[in-house]
Amino acid sequence: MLNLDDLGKGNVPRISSKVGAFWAEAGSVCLESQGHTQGVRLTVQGYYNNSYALAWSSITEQSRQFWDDPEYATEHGAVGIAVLIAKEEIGYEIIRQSRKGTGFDYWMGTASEEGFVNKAGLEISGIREGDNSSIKARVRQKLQQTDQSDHTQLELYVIVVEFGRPLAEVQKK
Amino acid sequence: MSALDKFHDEAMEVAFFADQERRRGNRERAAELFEQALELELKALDEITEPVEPTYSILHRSAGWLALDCNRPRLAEQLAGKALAGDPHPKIAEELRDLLEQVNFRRHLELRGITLEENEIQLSLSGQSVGLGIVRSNELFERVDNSARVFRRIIEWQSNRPFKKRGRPGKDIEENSQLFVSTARAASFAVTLKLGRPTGQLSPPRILSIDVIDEFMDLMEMVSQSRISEIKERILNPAYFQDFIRLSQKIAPDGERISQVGFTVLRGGKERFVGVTTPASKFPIMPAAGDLRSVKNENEPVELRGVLCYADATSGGRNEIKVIDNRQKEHIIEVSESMMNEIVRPMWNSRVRIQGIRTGSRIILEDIWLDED
Repeated sequence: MLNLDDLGKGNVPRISSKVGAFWAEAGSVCLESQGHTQGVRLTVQGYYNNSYALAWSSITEQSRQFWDDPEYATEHGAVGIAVLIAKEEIGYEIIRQSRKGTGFDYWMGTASEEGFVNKAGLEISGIREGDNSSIKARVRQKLQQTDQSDHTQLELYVIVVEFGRPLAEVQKK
Repeated sequence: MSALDKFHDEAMEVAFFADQERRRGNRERAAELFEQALELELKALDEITEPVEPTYSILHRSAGWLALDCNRPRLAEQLAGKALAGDPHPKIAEELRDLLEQVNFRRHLELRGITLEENEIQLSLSGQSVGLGIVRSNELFERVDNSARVFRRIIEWQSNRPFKKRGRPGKDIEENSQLFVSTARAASFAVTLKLGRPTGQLSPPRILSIDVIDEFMDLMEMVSQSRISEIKERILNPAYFQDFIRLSQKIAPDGERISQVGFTVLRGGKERFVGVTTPASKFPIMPAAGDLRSVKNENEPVELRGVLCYADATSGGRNEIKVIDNRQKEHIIEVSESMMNEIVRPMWNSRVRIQGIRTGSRIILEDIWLDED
């Protein structure tokens, strides 16, 4: 089971419980907006194939109002789900952010090395509700953005989360 | 946990909350938090004893972007340059160059000794069509023209006027939305736009030029960050909202000839910048206006080029234009009323590129551009 509430309990090393709770709430809003209830199964496909029951705390009307911008909620909700998948499927515990543009990019790895040494890049994208072709197109777009590392040893993963089913497509480059 | 990791993680958390404050419109609080985040990230950099990659370049890039958030472009430039002088991973090197490009554009946005009145705004352009102090005329004039239209629309919706689909605005609106253009500055290319001061009393409430310009800056900032839902919350009238998105699309860079469009104002002695880098093609396609019949999903998207040589605003109650392509074939295109006045009419007798939806023998216009090719 993947429990979004874990994100807000300090269970993700290097991510504060406040930031984790923010992602968890966004993810919960996205899931409930699609009519999902506790225990709905998230399909993981692509580089990994699996499925997980999802759990989260019910959201309040206040939260719903806070997250009334669907793009913003989807973006942050996808990060929450992707972080949990990265831990379970890819096996990386550490999620780190760094500033890029007006947002962040994400890196993952193990606890032993300082900084970004031996960390893998993680590109995350969210779709509130989309069909197969829109998911594939988003994965392609994200993979193209990572083209420049083709000939290098930097490990890169792409996770696209779609909340309608829900589904997460993981690809490794 | 090492001191480097501790400082970096704290910096990212503070930056995260700075983003939230900026999103809520609390610019001063956001600025304070970004300063704190930058300070923490610089402390993380101080902990580096050897330039181990990719940590060295990622931290410099991260600190560089925070420096830009804090409006310290020179520091951002130094940080990017220092990392590029090392041996960054190609992906990170490219991202460092993106940072330098932003630094360069920020330099163009700076006023450099120019003083702006509260009813003035600087428009800056950069890209392939821009040289030092020179620009292809249509790139400038179209953006000035469309900015003027946005100013006028802001005054109209702030005055609670209904969306006027055609005809000239009222005299009071016209007087208040007059736009004056200064001589150009080489920055790559920048002009000052001056919005006419209110000479009369608009029906309540009275709209001041400073408020109109600030609203324009807020909206363009949302455009630059693709915060379309927030724009929709701000402009509640759907006709005004759709019109604004279309006009801002015309102001935005095309990504090739013009890569960045910036606006600068001076408030309380401080410069406020908005830089739009999202190409117009990435903007959401606005549905045809509600007065058009609904378009079914199976209808075919169509793109064509030709001369816009005829327009009929009265054909059977529909707005229609005619485009003649290179093979002299005529295409009748249905246009929403809101687009006809603001977007289409200024392009009569010009070569245009059109995107639309074909329904039977007709095409419903979705977007139109002057055809440069």
